[in-house]
Amino acid sequence: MSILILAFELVARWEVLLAVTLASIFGLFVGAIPGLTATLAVAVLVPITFHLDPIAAVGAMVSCSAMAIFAGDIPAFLLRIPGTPASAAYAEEGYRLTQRGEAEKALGASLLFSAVGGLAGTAVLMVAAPSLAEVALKFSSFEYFWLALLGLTSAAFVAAGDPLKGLVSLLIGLAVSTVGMGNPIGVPRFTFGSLNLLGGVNFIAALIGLFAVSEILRYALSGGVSEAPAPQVDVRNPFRVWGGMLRRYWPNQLRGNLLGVVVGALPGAGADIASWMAYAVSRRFSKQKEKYGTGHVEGIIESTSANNAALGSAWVPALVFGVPGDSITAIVIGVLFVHGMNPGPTLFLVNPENIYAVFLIFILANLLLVGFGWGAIAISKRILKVSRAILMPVILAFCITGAFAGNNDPFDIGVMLGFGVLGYLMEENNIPVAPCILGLLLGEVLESNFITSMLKADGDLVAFFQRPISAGLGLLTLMVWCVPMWTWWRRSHATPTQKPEVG
Amino acid sequence: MRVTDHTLGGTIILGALLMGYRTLQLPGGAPGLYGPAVFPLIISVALAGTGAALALRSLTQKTQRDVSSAEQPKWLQGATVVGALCFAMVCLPYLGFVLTLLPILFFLLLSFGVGALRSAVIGVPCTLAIKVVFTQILAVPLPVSPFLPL
Repeated sequence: MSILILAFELVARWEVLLAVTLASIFGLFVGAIPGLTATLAVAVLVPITFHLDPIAAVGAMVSCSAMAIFAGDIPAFLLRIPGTPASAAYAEEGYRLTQRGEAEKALGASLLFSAVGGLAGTAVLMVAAPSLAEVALKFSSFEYFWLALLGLTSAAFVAAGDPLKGLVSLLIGLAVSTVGMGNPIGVPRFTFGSLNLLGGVNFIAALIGLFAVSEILRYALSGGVSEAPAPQVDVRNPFRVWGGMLRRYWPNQLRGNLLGVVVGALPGAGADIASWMAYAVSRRFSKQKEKYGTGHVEGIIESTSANNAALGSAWVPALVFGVPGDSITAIVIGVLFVHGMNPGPTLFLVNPENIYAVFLIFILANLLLVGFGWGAIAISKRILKVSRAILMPVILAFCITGAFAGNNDPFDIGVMLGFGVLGYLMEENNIPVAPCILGLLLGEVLESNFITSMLKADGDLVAFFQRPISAGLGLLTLMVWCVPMWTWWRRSHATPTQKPEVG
Repeated sequence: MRVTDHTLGGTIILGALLMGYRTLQLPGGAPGLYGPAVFPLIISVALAGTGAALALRSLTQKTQRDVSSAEQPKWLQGATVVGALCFAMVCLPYLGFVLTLLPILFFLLLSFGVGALRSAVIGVPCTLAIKVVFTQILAVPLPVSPFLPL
């Protein structure tokens, strides 16, 4: 108890509170700009944190990342430009709700369940960090291979409307992920002599292209008569709406939290896979499956609960073993070292008030998220009142700058254009673009773990089922594959019911 | 541009064959070797299979998906967007950020039906605002024009 009081005293200082508040506003601002990610927001903060004391520095980074990740949902829902790969999972649902005039409801749900998910992730971080980290470290290449494959198959078979076209989209993403030198012996692969492609296809440029540029192209090709959003319904009292949502969707929220905490704690897995898997699970077990993809809040709730719960639990391996759970925690580990808070088991033994102060910062950041987030929604929804003839060119200007800013390379604008055209053609032919993004994101993880496992097992495929967690994940993946095939087989072999003869 | 599913399936098979052909030129695709060819080879086979399944499903279905469009696409406006992005890709390092983005914004606004004066009134502050946000707040270095050193 005395440790908690000491931790509270560390947090309740004006320097920490000011740093957290300013970093929150900065995070919201960066996250809402198309093409800029939470990782970039945290990276920009790094030089500033050198001038702050350790708790204020970590507090600034935690609150900045939480706000930026939520803010990524704002352009995703209003303009169909996901700010993060995680929000790409449910961007379509949010955008459809905006088209129906329910932007505030969609963003409010995302905000509420983001904050609740974040608090759930923090609770797990506080209670079970060391034991969860031990489980996470038992994961070898076999388990990671199955986990990546499970995430991919969930997206293709469950999340997409037409599984076959979902699979096409996923395979296109996986094919593009093979470009570059990120392969077993570092040979340039499908680079066609281009130096720009040696490092692979820029993921952010591809994401902006598939979602934003394809939308602008659709608007342009329709001659400016594409579907404009309906007049927006104002949510006057968000707490009343949220109360109803919490009562109705608490199982989704709990399931999303649980999935997010488990997946987020695995080093390298993070919030993205958690969000996609949660969306797929939500759809699979929903009583209103047919509503998914048409603007249904249930998928948003479960995904965003998982996404933000994973954010907290991604800190488990980072704090306990110094192994980053995702790119943000990788940056934070560096800052912790600079401030002498070396991550590892000793962090919990030497000056434990510091680590509990970090936990309190998590709680504070998630509570601030509700207030700041609602303010951001109220401001940003005004964007929908701007004429689309003006909005589309301005979005394109942001897209060009965002794609260029990642590597300071104009080649990435070309990548964005290529994926924009690809996204347009895919959607015109009813091929969903979301699985393609997941394929692009997880392709390298899948390949490296597959090749490592094959080398370890000397080509023996049975090895993929010999470890208990690996076998469990493998069987689960195979089940996800088999269920749609079984359903299809049953449907095609069902005997048609004969009409009774009359007379 | 909508095509029938069997055309789509055929195109995917063609793409998969091309990918497979390029993959076979990479090392490590033989049994027992796990080089850079293994994974793309698996993907190209899966792509070909999926393309074939798509084509087969389309050919065996009694009702075909309607690929006709109610309205003719406005190719010129689409080409303006593509042209704007090509212009940005080529000219950004030479003309700098402001001189590249300003004409893009101005002409895109014009092509979407916004008046010339309004396009200029929106285009200039927007370009400068994006420049300030990225360079001053986010510390992202954007190319500076040799003709307009802003």
